[in-house]
Parts: sequence; C-alpha cells; structure tokens
Amino acid sequence: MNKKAQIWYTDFMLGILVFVVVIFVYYEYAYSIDQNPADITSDIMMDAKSISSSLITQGSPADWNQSTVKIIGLTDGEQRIVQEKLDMFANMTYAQTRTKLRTPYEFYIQFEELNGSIIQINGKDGIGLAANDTDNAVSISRIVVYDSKLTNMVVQVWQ
Amino acid sequence: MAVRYRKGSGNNVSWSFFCLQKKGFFFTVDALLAASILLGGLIILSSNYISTQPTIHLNYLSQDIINCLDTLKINELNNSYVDGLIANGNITDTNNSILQQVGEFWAAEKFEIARMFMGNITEDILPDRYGFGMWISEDLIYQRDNPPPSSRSSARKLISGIEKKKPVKGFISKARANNFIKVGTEVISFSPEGAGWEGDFSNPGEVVIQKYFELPANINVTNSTFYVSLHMEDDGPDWQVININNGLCTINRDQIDFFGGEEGTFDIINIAGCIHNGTNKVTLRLRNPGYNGHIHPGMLIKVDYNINESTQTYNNTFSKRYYFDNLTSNEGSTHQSGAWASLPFYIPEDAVNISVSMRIAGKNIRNYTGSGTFSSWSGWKYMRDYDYILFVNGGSPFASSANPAANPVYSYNSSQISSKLVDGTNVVSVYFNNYGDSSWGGGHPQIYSDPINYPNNSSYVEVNYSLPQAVAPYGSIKITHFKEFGGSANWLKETSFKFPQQAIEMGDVFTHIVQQYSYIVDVRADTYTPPSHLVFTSPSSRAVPTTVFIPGSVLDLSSTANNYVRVSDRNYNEILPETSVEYSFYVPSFVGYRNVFATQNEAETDALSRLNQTVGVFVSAENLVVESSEMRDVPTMWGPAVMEVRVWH
Repeated sequence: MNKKAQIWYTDFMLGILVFVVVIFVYYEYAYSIDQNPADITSDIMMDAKSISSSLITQGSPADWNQSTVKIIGLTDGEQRIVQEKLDMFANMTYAQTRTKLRTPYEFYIQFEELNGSIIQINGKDGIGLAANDTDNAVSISRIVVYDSKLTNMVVQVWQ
Repeated sequence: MAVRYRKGSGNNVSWSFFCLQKKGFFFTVDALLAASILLGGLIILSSNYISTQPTIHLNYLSQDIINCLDTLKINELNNSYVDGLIANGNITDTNNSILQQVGEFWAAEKFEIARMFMGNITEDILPDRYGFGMWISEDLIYQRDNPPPSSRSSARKLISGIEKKKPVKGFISKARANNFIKVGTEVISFSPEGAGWEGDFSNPGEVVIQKYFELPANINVTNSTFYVSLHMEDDGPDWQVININNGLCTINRDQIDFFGGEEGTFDIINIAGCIHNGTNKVTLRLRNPGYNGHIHPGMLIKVDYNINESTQTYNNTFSKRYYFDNLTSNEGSTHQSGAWASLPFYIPEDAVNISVSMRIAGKNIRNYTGSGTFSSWSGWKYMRDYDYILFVNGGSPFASSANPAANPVYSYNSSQISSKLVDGTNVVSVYFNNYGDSSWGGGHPQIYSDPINYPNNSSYVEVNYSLPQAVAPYGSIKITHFKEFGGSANWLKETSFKFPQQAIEMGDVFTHIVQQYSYIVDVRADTYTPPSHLVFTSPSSRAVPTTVFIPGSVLDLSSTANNYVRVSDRNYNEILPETSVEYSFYVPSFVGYRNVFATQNEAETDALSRLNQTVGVFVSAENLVVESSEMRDVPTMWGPAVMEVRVWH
C-alpha cells in the first residue's frame, strides 16, 4: 500500500509540475503574440541601417562638434573615418549619442580589422552599450577606411 | 522505459506483462508528454529573442567597397605586393587611389598586374561566402569565383581621365612670340592745302609747304612711295616741286605725270631710300601762274618697313597733337597770296572724356581793308571782313577776323569746340587772306608750324579722349593692311574687304581718297552693298581730307563678313583707282593650351604650328617661348571609364 501511495504521490507532483509549466508557457506565448519578433527585427534593422548610413556620412554640419552636432557622421564624406569625429563621438554621453542617432533602441559600435581583431577606441572595444546574448540585436557591417586600412564598422542595435 | 514484473519462482516463473505493463506504459507516456511540453516551452521562450550575427548587406557592400577603393591611396597600403609594383616601376604615382591605379593598369592593358593587384588588396575584404569582382568598362579586372551568384549587387563609378590604350598622363603646350618681325606700312597723308597764287612763269606765286613727321627709331624702312596728287602748273619752266629730307631726294615738275596735260596731277613715285626713321621733312613748292597751286586729296607717302617688335600693352587713353604743315604762300608778280590748310582728326564713336583744343598761329597776315568781294559759303562777302576764317566741321565759319594782327595767334579750348565735334572724321580748315578761288593777301602769309623745334608755338589740334577699354588685349599684334579700290576712275567707287579669321580686335579703318579734282565727297560704309551709312561728308567745298576715318561700329570683324566702303563726289569728279582702304586689326602673339599629347615634343610641335597658323601669315615670330605642362588626372583628357564592383552570395 505504501508503495502504491508513493507512486500516486509522484505522479501527482509530476502532474502539477507539468500543469504549471503549461500555464507558464501559455502566458509567455500569449505575450509573445503581442510583440511579434518579426516586427521587432524589422524596426531594429531599420534603425541599424539608418545609424550605419548616418555614421558613414560627414554628419551635419560637416565640421560638427559636440555642441553643434545635428547628425552624427564619422567620415570625410568619402568613406574615410575622421579620427577627431570618432573621438568626439566616443566622448559624448550615451544618452546624447542615442538622441542624435534618433533611435529608441540601444546601440553599440565596433571597428574590426579585416582579420576580425577589434580596434580599440579610446581604450574601449566599442562605443555605446553592448548587447547581452539574450537581447534582440541586429548588427550591420560597413566597410570604411580607418587609420589607412580597410576596416569593418559594425553597428549593433538591440533591445 | 519498459518495466517487467516477474511472478513465481524457478521454472514456474511466468512473465505477466498485462497489469504491470499497463501501469508502466501510462507512466512512461506521461513522462514523455511532460518532457515534450517542457521542451516546447523552452523552444517558444527562446524564439522570442533575436540575436543575429553581423549582417552584411550586398547593396551597402558594393557601394562601400567602391568608395573605399576610391579613397584609399597607394601610399597608405602596407602590402608587400604593392611595394614590389612600386619598386619595379609599375606604379609610378603613389598618390593614386586604388581605383585610379587599377584604371591606369587597365588603360595600359596590364591586365594581369591589375588582377593580382586587386586580388592582393581585397583578399580579406569579404568573408569567403561572398563573391566579388571588378570590371572597368565591361572588361573583367578581377573576380573571386566563389560562390556561384544567387543574389548580387553592384556599384559603379565614373573615372575620368583614363581610356583604354591611351596614356594616363599627357602634355599640353602653349607658345608665344616675345618678339616678332612685323612688316608694316605707315601712311603720311597730306590734306588739301595751298596756295601759290597766280604770278607768271618768271615770278610765279608759290606756296611752300613743309611737313615734318616722325618714324619710330626702331623700324627698318624698306620702301617708300609718294602718291602725288597736286594742282599745279603743267607748263613753263621746270622747278623742284618736292624736296625730301633737305635734298636727299628731289622731284621736279617734269618728273611728275600729268594726266593728259591738265593741271591736276596724280602720280605714284618711288622714293625708296628717301625716307628714314626719325624725323623726316618734306618740302613742297607749288606754283600755278594761271590759277593757284595746291594739294589735292590723295597726296600721301606710304612707308613700308619692318620692325622687331615686342609684345605690348595697349592703353585706353589717347592723346595726340595733330600739327598743321608749315605753309607759306609767297606772292608772285601779281602780288597775290593767301594761305589755307585743312586738317583732319579722328574721334572714335565710343570715346569718352573728349577734349579738343586748337591753336592757330598766323604770320605775315594782311589786314585787308579794300572793297573786294569773294564768293563765300553763302553768297558774296567783303574780303576785308574775313582775313581769317576758321571752319570746324561746318559749312559756315566757326571763327573769323576782320582785323587780324600781323602775326595772330588764335587759341580755342575744349569747351569752345566741343559742340562742333562729330564722331569719326573731323575737319578743321583755316584760311588767311583767301577763300575759294579768291585771295587778298600780300607778301608771305603763313600758317606757322614747327613741330620739331617749336611745337608749342605751332599750329595744331590737340585731341584727348579715353575709350571704355584698351584698344586691344595685351600681347596682341597690330597688323595693317591696304586695299586699293582698283578698276577705273569714276565719280563713285566702291570696294570691300574682310578681316582675317585670326583677328581678335578691330583696329582703325581709314579710306585714303585720291582725286585729281574734288568738290564735296561722301564716304559710306557698312556690311551691305551698296553701303548706306554715311560716315563722312565734306563740310565744305575742297574740305576733302586725304584720309577719312571709318567707325568700327559700321563694320564687322567676322572673317565671313564683307565690309563695303563707297566714295563718291557730288560734282562727279573722279575717284581714282588708287583710292585705298587701310584697315588695322589685332592678332594674338600667343596660342594657349589645347590638345593633350603623349609626348612633350608632340605638344610643343603642335603649339608652334598653331602659333604659326595664327601669326605666321602676318609676322615672322622671333624669340619663341614654348611652355609645356604635364597633365595627369585631367577629367577632360580621356574617358570617362565606368568602374564597377559587383558583390554576390
């Protein structure tokens, strides 16, 4: 009898567990229906494209500084990164840069050599906030000339 | 998982699977279901998070690559293969962008080098899963074959200054002549003036006219011709009519051809060697016992010369003093004398700030008090009221005097004269003790002028004006051409001329009227035939200057346009075929850059050839200077070529 009771108890506990999991999965699923991953990806992707395209330009005004900048651009207009602009960009606060880049998402900019090595900017691996593995993130890579080398500028936008 | 239960023992052991098997089966299914649900839940949860690897967009990629290749310079590359190309001379300009350098390889048909070059530089630019290639004007330069394209994008750039099989650099040249030997002609004209009145063969009245003129010291006179147009005695004893440079050359009456024995003569006499550079003096002695001796229109000296001239700057201000000839009317046996002279001067139609002043100096003027009369510009008048008469562009006197001093001086300032001035040819006529065919002087009345020794005491008209711009650009050469009307003598004659295509600016244009006898002459000119623009008409009888200015506004500089000049005499006096048009124009002494040549020698030869075509027919260019420039990256030189980067995956 004891054995039978034990068997029943284990089944019951397992059943409860399964029930709880199903309920949890149901609510998660229901929530995920409101936030379609495809829509999120599309928005983030658009912002990533927009930010990367902006950074490829000279910015506005062309000789912008931290007080005059309207649009952040990091190049001379011909695909070559201007170190002064990059430094100014790196030295702006994250909130400022996100405002100027006009994105509701988080971003992270890195420069990589063609062999994949990360190029340090002001002693850091990148500019902005890096995403965690579990965040929704889109990365776009653009080729620029930085420090007389062909370089990948990776723009990551995430939520 | 299957569970077996055993009943009994030993050989009686039997295996019953039914009850126990059923319970065990349910349990296992439950577990599997639960595991499936858990796994499904995990999958659903995990699907809500997106974390992508860096995305490379083909459109961005091709555009980025072509932009970067156009930006990155050879001297920025740290690439041993490129270093080798520099070392072996395949790359000559390290300031080239990669795109330019590939273009140069392509233009030079160094396709293998171009392929290796691009392969080296773009080796790591893309992950292996992407294909990449470059084309120039559809010629494949480099292609990374993998993978086969399923989706592709391309970006293009136009690169000017290169073209297949054309040199990427070239030479252009310009040439100028700092000095040139120019053949020119200077015209010294004698306007109608006189007179030697009456007398007889043994003691004729005689007018002595002394003309001084300067020729530049740096010219080399090659020939001189005297166009002699006089009214003088054709009979009786011979005398020296013309004396050039104090006896260097002389011409007697009998050496001059009289047309059919009439008193009006026209002859063309070679006086080579008689005229030299510097100051020249020509003395005329004109007699005519039966009437009066005077100069007719068409009396002039043409001096041909060559000159080694340098390029010069032309200014826009003009100041010139036109001197009267020194003229003395000596009485003869009939005690008649009277001096008169006409003097033309020119004011262009676009002249501004015009200032004209005048000084008339008379000597030995008679204050006639008799009762004689003369046929004037308006009926008969008393001679005593007009010992001095001055006309300025009009048929009635501008000034006159009934009681002149023996040596009067009359001065007129600009404000007094300005209202009488006209654009183009102006004529001033001065009469002392005579008018028309009447004279009432005595002794030796004189219109005094000695521009060499006493210029300020002389008789003259001083003209000042400025033009809106310089008459010609710096470095241009003034060329003067003559064209005689030709044909046969007629009271109305017309000719036409064209400016050459090399002319960049119009100079002065004159017509030199040649007549045996004259009355009132009209000159018309424009670009139609018959020309309708009246550019000159004699203000009064005999006031026909030898040289009449034709305004440039009625003419056309175009080499395709005909410019017509028509001269007519209202009294049907003949215009002689020797009447001519003198037209000046300016040609550049340099040619600028034009075509690009592969070698400097070709460019210089072209420049010199063009210079010769421009000025060679007019001048002999000396001290030629040719400047050449090496041209690179000149967008207009060749091309453009279309550079295309294609990317695919």
